[in-house]
Amino acid sequence: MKEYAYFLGCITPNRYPGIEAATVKVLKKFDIETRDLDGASCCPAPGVFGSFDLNTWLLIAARNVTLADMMGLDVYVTCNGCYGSLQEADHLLKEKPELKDWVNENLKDEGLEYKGNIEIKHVVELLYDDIGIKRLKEAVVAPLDAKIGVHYGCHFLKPSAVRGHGSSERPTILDELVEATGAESVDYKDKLMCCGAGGGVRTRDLEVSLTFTKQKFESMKKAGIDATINPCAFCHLQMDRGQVEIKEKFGEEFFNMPVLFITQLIGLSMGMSTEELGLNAHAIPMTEKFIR
Amino acid sequence: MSLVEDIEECGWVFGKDTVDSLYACMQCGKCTGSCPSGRITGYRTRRLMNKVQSGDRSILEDPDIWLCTTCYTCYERCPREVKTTDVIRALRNVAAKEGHMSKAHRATAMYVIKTGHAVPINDATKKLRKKLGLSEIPPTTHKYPEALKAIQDISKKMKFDKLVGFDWNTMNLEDREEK
Amino acid sequence: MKGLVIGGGVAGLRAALDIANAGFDVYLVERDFSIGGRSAQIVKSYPDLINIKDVLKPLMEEVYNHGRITLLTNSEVLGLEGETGNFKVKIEKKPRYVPEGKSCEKCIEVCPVEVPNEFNERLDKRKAIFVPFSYAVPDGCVIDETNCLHFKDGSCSRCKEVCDGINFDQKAETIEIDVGSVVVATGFDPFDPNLRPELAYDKYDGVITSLELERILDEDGPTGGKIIINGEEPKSVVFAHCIGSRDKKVGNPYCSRICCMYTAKEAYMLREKLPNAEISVCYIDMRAFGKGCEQFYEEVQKKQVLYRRGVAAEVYSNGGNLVLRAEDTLLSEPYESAADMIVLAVGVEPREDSSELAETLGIKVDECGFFVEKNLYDPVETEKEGIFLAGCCQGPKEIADSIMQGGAAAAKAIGLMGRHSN
Ligand SMILES: Cc1cc2nc3c(=O)[nH]c(=O)nc-3n(C[C@H](O)[C@H](O)[C@H](O)COP(=O)(O)OP(=O)(O)OC[C@H]3O[C@@H](n4cnc5c(N)ncnc54)[C@H](O)[C@@H]3O)c2cc1C
Ligand code: SF4
Ligand code: SF4
Ligand code: SF4
Ligand code: SF4
Repeated sequence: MKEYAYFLGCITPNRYPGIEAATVKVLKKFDIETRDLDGASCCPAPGVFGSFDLNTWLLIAARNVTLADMMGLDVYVTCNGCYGSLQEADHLLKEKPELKDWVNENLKDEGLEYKGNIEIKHVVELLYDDIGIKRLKEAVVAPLDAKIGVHYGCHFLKPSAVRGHGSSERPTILDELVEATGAESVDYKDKLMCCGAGGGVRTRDLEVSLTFTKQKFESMKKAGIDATINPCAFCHLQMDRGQVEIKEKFGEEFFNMPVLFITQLIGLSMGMSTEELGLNAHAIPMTEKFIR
Repeated sequence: MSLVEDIEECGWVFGKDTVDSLYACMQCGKCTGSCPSGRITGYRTRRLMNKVQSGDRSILEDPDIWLCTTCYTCYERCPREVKTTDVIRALRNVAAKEGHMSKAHRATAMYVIKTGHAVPINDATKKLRKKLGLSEIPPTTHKYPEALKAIQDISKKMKFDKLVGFDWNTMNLEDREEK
Repeated sequence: MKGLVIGGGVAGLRAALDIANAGFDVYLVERDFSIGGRSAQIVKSYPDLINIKDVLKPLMEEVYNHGRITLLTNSEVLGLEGETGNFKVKIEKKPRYVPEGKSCEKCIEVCPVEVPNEFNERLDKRKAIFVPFSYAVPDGCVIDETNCLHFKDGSCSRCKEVCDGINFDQKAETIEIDVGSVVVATGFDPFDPNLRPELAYDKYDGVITSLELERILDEDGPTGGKIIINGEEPKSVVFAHCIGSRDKKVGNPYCSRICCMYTAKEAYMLREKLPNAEISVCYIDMRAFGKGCEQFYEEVQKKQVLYRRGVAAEVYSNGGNLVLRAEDTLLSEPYESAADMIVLAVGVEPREDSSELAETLGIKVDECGFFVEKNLYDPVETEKEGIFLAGCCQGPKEIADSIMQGGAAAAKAIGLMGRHSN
């Protein structure tokens, strides 16, 4: 049995708890236990808070990392933004002793001390490295027969020198996970493009942000894709709710394309129900292929 | 202080080298050509680097600098290894300090100060959480008041509250003209 | 006293001839089956569009027929000991299994093995027994033993059935020679564009390298000189400068010096073959510094080749054709350019094994892998006395400069050997 602390962030627990439920359940099936990271906050979003005030961003992120550090548990996340913030902060603190001192000086009053003994992991790493494609395949009881458009998001892979998952130009890790469920990962134009939500663009200029999303859906439709999967709660929101917003803003044809978080897709393949995975609470309803 | 010095100061967490990498920009356009935002907006990554190099402070008022989604595509591809996205984030810090922060962004910041979450919970999600067998309130600052206080202390200590114009009496944003 | 030249490209050929003509015997060691080097893959040279074959072929033949030059092809230097004026060099000479000289080529017809043809940048196939290229020197067929079935499992000897001259029993020999000086002229490798995956070289057949285009432009090349991409003549072509050069991300921070001009030349030649195609070039800045080069650049522009400032950013396919994304940096506008063919102007890299050779010879490589010259004053000497450099192995350069450096290295070698002989 392996144990991790789960850093929830904002979107997962407060908008898409289905991601949380699906993730914890799927991991548990493979003997990975999840512990609450009590008192965690917003990560805070690296492109948003990092753009406002890097000091505040670093301190809050470092506080979140330190909570887990003091529990002595590695952390996993289900959002690329959380991954970006916590992993980048942890990386900076491990690289730069002067930053570590500054952070500890400022966290002292709260009784926290960052030591740097843990790792920040994305749930995709748990699926791929801890569990592995082989075991995931063996656990499939209800294989998916669908064409899937993988959306990687940005901060899972980039900056690649910090993330350490190899080149960001031709990743395969999510495609392999998708194909382990029996589904087919279909290439589409601008597959690696940003969903448009990050860097505070969604908040400040929804129309620009949705234009990214719209382009991605147009390409996926053209490629005959049935549903899109992602590893990021924020991309997930942008792509699920975003489809409704695109219709409102641009009055265009409704894409109506189901959006699943990677563990929700895997959950389906393992025989979990649409409802227990929170999929029926999405803005875009599931189509036949994803109803169990 | 020069613009680059301001950016170095705001971006000190990255280190001076990260910010100073912008001096190596050769204006090749790989960044703009790769930028998903530039394709649909007037934002031009290369031009931003050029303006910063030449110390043109008008860039701070340019609303387009807020159209970068921090996707890191340019950062990954820059042949001169300019740390573009980090430079952009640090540059925005300078802009924010000079009061160029949109109302919408201030509101997001406000939620973190108020609740510890940029996207706080709502009733519908509470109900859904329960249905899914999760705790109605997540074990975050939403559940632990002392954790929320820690976030608020950080905001005060870093003068983040001042930066975004947070009024502790009304627990809301103070009126401020949008620059 | 004898000289040694390693590498039979233009630089090495010039060096060998000059040393020989000064009255010294010289060994020329070439790793390939033929001498000629990369220049043999190129059709014409900028800026005056000289037919390279017209210059290179006589040079190669002169070397082959020179009484003072011992040509060792399919050979490599294994070790070097001693010091200036008195080096002992160990060379491995691998067999070609077929006698040198014009051959009937019946063997090629019967050979069942097909592998990608390196000389044509793998655009077509050759047999396991083959003629390296139309004007290869030495002439005639050779057997590539790594692909030949006889050497793999003994299952074939069809070529021998049609040709008595073939001798499978030939063995590699190790030769030891004494030489007074060494000229290193091992040349370069083109950059592998797969290290810039966003350009999708591996994904689409329409994305090719400049060296592939050289082969396509050649009447003796895989398409007989026809410009054919995916079975059709391209209507639009985009050239992309600086691929793998001026690029710290791939470890090549230097400018490759030749690609601005060879692109201009390729664009010119393409225009002659495709009078109605749209041809454009993405460039960062134009480096046309050689004699006659700026004038040639202007001439190319006048042939309606559109130069757009801004490096190629990425390539995708919209189903029908390829699309190249870039920024026009003069207009500050990102744009998308549809193209049937995208030509990547790949940069000059040191030979893959340059560090190993440097170690064998006791010379140094710089942080990019090129051999290091002694100093500003001794530009063809190395820190190790008696070992000289010429051509692209010292740094990127065009044919004329490579030849000049070959001549300079020869002059130094001659001087040194002259001193030791007295
Ligand atoms: C696409 C393209 C177009 C070009 N167009 C032009 C043009 O129009 N005009 C122009 O002036 N230049 C042009 N060039 C540049 C030209 O090819 C070079 O300047 C020239 O080939 C350099 O000659 P070299 O002798 O230094 O090296 P090479 O031509 O590389 O020859 C080196 C030789 O050494 C041999 N060798 C390598 N390693 C060993 C070893 N360890 N032992 C023994 N032998 C070894 C190789 O097999 C080869 O035969 C072009 C280059 C490219 C890529
Ligand atoms: S890619 Fe790098 S060098 Fe090129 S213009 Fe952008 S920042 Fe400058
Ligand atoms: S990080 Fe920003 S500037 Fe760079 S490509 Fe992405 S959106 Fe454009
Ligand atoms: S013996 Fe080798 S070279 Fe000769 S025909 Fe057979 S495979 Fe070809
Ligand atoms: S010669 Fe021209 S194309 Fe080649 S690397 Fe230099 S600038 Fe780029």
